[in-house]
Amino acid sequence: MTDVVTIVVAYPLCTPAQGDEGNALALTYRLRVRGVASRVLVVDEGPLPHADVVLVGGLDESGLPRLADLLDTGGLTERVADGAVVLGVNAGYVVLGRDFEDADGTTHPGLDLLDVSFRHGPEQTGPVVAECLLPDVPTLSAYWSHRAMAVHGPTNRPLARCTVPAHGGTEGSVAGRVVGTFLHGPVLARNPLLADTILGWVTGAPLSAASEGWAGLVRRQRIGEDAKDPSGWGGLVYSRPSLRRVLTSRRYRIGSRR
Amino acid sequence: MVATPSRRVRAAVALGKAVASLSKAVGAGRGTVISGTVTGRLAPDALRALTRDRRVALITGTNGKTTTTWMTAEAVATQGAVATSRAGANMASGLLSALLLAPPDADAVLEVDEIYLPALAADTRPSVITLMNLSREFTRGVSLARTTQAWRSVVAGVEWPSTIVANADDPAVVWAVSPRSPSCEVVWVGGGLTWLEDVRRCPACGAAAVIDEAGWRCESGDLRLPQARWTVEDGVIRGPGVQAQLHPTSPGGWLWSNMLFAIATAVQMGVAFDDAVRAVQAVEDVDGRYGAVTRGRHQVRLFMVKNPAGWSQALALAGSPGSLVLVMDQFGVKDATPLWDVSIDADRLGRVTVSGHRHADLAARLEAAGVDFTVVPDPLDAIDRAPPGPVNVIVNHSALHPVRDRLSS
Repeated sequence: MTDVVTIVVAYPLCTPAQGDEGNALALTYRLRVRGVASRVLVVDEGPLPHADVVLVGGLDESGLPRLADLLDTGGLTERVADGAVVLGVNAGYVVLGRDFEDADGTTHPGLDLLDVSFRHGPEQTGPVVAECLLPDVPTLSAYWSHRAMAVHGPTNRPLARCTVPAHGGTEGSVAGRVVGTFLHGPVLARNPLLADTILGWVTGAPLSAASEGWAGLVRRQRIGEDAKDPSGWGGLVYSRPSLRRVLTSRRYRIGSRR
Repeated sequence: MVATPSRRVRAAVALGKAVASLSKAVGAGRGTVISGTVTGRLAPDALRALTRDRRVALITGTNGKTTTTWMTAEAVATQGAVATSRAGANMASGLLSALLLAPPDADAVLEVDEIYLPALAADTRPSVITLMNLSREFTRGVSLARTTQAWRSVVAGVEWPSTIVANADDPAVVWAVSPRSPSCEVVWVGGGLTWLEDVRRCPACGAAAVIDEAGWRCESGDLRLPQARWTVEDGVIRGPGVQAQLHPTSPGGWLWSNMLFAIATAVQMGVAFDDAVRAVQAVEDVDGRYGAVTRGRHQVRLFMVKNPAGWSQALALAGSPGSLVLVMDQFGVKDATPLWDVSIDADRLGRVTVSGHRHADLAARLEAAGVDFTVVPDPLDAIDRAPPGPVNVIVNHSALHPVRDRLSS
């Protein structure tokens, strides 16, 4: 690692946005807390530059074969061999596996960095609460918005185990310094200690202790809400705007009828 | 096809109106959706029947459609009755309700949700379709790619004479408007481009785009931005052979674009330019937004945001006189996600107050940006604690009505 940590956001316009570019902001912030400088490079085409961290994200709705191709010809495998940490979210996770199936049933090769195959499946949306299987990372809070179904290979090591949704099973995959997950949020903004763990791989030693800050309160709040109401709307009142308006208008509060 | 609505449609319309009255009478709402839901269930062809004998303008875009629809409706109202959906009810039931509650031959000025444009355009056969802007959206679960494709299908497939009023400065809109059906013509409006993150690549060919003072251009040159027929610069609006000075009644740089689209759309609907300018200029409040409410020693204005482009525009309010309060309430799992897509310059933003049920999410984002902020969970408290003078309050979708209702009570 050099004095300045280089974070590369790889080909974000290739797939529909879902806020995952914010993971770069989250990493930058966690480094700044420790007085470590960083720079963020957004790469839309061509080879991937030298990177300490490569972030790949977006929805797995469209653009997957092109994303896989850009990462392949852009030299992601070489960057990993050089020691780069990779975080693939949703579309970024799907292309890191052995292969993936698109909506019309065609199977495409992935980057083969994770022992996972992906099949096309029904849309999975909603809040996620998961126990992270990496050491020193507390319960994860995030949400899903994906279609791919992960089929784990024999050497796969999951990232986390879901408690919400109850049927969620294991979440994501870790192989060396490569992490794949379906968790949006952005996941590193919502879970600062996961960001710290990833940065510890970059710096070669765990980072000094630092408070999660306001993000910690957000994480705990959402875990509490989502365990109670897995719709992700934080209670019935907010489930439908029209209903919410009726229920929250003063006229409908018991005792305040004019 | 019949000349007059079928008995089934007439019965469904009557019942829908009755439900709207009932809804208003019991105080459940303004009947802007429920009446349309009832009518639409009973007579699926009601939208087609209720728009057959009117001129219809549909207005859509990622941002600014409610405000622009409101302004356009005010301008068209200078000619007579207008059917319009003022509160942002922009799907089939909202459109039906707007039509039910207006005289049967009134012109219609209707806001339409971006992804519903194909279905609603096919049913209402609009003579004007206004396409304002296109950028990423997370909370609705519809990607930009799907929305753009939906618009392209409309413009390429229009089978009736119509005018597309489109943003000449937004490459995504320009691409959505090509190729077009021979039965439509385009009126280009210089509506501005404020969110650049989705057009770093050319939407047509994927080549890198150059974005500088001269505007946007594709390196390969296959997508060229057209010359706008309507423009606004330094408050002066110019159209074909006409011009006028505008004076916005509220801060918010995007309002120039809204006014420009409203005037261009109204003129296309046959309104005289001067009448359109006067009517649009007179709009001070849009469903509780923009209009100043006096509360103690504060003049409070509300601004609503839903997506990264909206946040980005609204945070520029920091450059306007007064204090800035950000209020976020729960709005699904993705409610705070757009914040992390917006670049925030701590020096330009200055000191802000964060509030609402989701104040911690706002605080976390501002903390990461190094912004100086104060946390006051209750929005009204946050307003009261601001220094005397103007207070600009940026709210998300779910916070708008609760804050507005408390301010006006």
